[in-house]
Amino acid sequence: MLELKNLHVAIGGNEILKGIDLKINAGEVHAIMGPNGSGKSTLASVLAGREEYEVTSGEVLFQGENLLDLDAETRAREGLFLAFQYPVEIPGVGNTYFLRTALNAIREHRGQPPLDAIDFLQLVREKADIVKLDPALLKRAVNEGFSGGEKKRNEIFHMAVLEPRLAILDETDSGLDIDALRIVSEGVNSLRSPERSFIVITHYQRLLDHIIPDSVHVLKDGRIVESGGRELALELEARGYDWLDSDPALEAAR
Amino acid sequence: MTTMASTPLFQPDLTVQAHTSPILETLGSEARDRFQELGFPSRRDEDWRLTSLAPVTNSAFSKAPAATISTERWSLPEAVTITFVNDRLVDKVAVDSLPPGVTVMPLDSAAGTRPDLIEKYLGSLASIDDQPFVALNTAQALEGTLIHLAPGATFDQPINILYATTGDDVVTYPRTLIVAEEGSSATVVETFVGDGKTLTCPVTEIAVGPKASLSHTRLIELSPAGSCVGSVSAAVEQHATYRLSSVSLGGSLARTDIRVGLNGEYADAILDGLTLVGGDDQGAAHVIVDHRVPNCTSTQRFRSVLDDRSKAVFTGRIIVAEDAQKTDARQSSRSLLRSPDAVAHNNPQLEIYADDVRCTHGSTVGQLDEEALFYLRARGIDRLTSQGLLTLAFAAEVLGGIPVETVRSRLEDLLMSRLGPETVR
Repeated sequence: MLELKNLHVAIGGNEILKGIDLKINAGEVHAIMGPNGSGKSTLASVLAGREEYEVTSGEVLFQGENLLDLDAETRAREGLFLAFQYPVEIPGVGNTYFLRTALNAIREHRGQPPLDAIDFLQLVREKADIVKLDPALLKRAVNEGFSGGEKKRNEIFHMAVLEPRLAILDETDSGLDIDALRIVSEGVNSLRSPERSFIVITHYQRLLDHIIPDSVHVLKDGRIVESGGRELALELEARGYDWLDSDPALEAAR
Repeated sequence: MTTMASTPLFQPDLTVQAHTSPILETLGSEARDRFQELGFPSRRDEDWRLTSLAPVTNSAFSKAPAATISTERWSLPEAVTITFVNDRLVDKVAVDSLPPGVTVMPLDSAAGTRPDLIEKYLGSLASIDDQPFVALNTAQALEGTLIHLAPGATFDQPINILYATTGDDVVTYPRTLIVAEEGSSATVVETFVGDGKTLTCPVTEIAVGPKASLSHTRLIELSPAGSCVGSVSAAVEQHATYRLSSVSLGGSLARTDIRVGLNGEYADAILDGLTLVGGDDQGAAHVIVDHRVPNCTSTQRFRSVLDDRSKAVFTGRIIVAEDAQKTDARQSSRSLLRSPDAVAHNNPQLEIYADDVRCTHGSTVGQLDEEALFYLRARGIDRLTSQGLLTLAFAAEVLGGIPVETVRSRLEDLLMSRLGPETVR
């Protein structure tokens, strides 16, 4: 599904990602954890196609294609989805209208006919239910005046409608109370399938109580310093991040 | 451009009009004298510093002769309509069968049948002292419309006033007087259409009596060579509401001066404005909201979208008198530049003489929000469509206050074709 090879990324001349190797197969859920400033959100942004980041070396293959050659909209149409850490408020653009435009752009890319208003409405109702999204929010402008929790639910709702092949959840748990966290996690779990992969970026282990990952990676200072199974997340919860050394040279000398 | 005022090619006809009414005649001759003293404003006048009057003064406009024009596009089936073409009344729809308490009639007949109203209000709200174009309009024949709502009259049908100007190098001077007496309410749509190289110099005066509510939609729709320099003056009494949606869709020069006096406690004014400009066009809204007494509220929300080498000016002055305590005045002005050569000036001006007030203002000039653009693209919507959607959303935000559905949806369609995805360069 996704393969990162020695990915180096800089912004404004500062190197943030310093050689990431990662392979994610179809159907797998990979959690990426790490302290603030370790490069987690940079990784999400680069994969989604934010243009202010500069890939200085390395490559990214998505379904066998060179992902870095594609612009953000083409990546989305190919099946990549980013659930934003800070979903953007867009006054004047209706949530449903926006989503229908997005879905039909993706369908067109896949050679499918556009969904008409009635079929779309049916789909939206069904999917909104998955994350228990208040139907009133469908009629509002995208994220405008939504609470923090509503914004995150709206992201997962968008994901449910757009049915991506690879979904990247960038700190979707931040700002959620325990009930919202459970609802969002259930939404994500209901979308798990053998054809769909997830990258779950989080600072805290608690999200992984609900969304059980296949692999856990620790990102520190732009490098993956540790990889393991679900138990790694529990160890991080207990011990923090300090015991992991970010400098491979020091690691080797130990 | 020279700094010396050269003799304008436009020499307005100031022949004193033979009015049947002595009131109008006095008003007209005073205004003519005042215009002769003032002349056209120059860029040395602070209020006109950012407006080039070249589209007005560099053409020899003369009074528009009788003509015809198709006005179907602006017809509102649900409305009472009065139509003027080149300062001549050409059509009335449902105007003569209004319910008691509601009057819509041409001003010249009003001078005969309701001299009391004309005498009390006409020229009392729009000042000729410092507004040359008001003086110029008042010096003319005063062709236009009187709307009168008797105390307690509430009228649900929109009142649609259409002033069309057609021809080349022709000028018109439409005049509207709206008097909403105590406890009355109505919705008025005023449209100024310019077809050809036209100049329209309209003046609208509005008295909103105690507890009355008036919703006013004012549209300027001109050919590229057309200009419109006009004003709206409103006086709002206690517990009354005045709501204005002022929309200008282009033309060489489209300028509107809006002056609202909040004269009675708990009066409320809600002013929305949208200006679209492209080419070398200029758009301008100069707003003065005068909080004269305590406990009044006002909201100004002005937007402009600029293409090419166009220019848009917003000046919003909020005056809060010394005893106008508990004033709540808000203002926001935002301009969207779609070209590096376009220029927007947003000038909030606060003159606050009271101490217990809440005044907020915010002003931005810039491009589309990159974060919003990326958010749309990351969901699969291409860059051009995303830009079109966001531009449309930016402009449409201020159309929400337009109460007449037919007008609002026509404008939304117009915006879609002017600003939507297909138009992004």
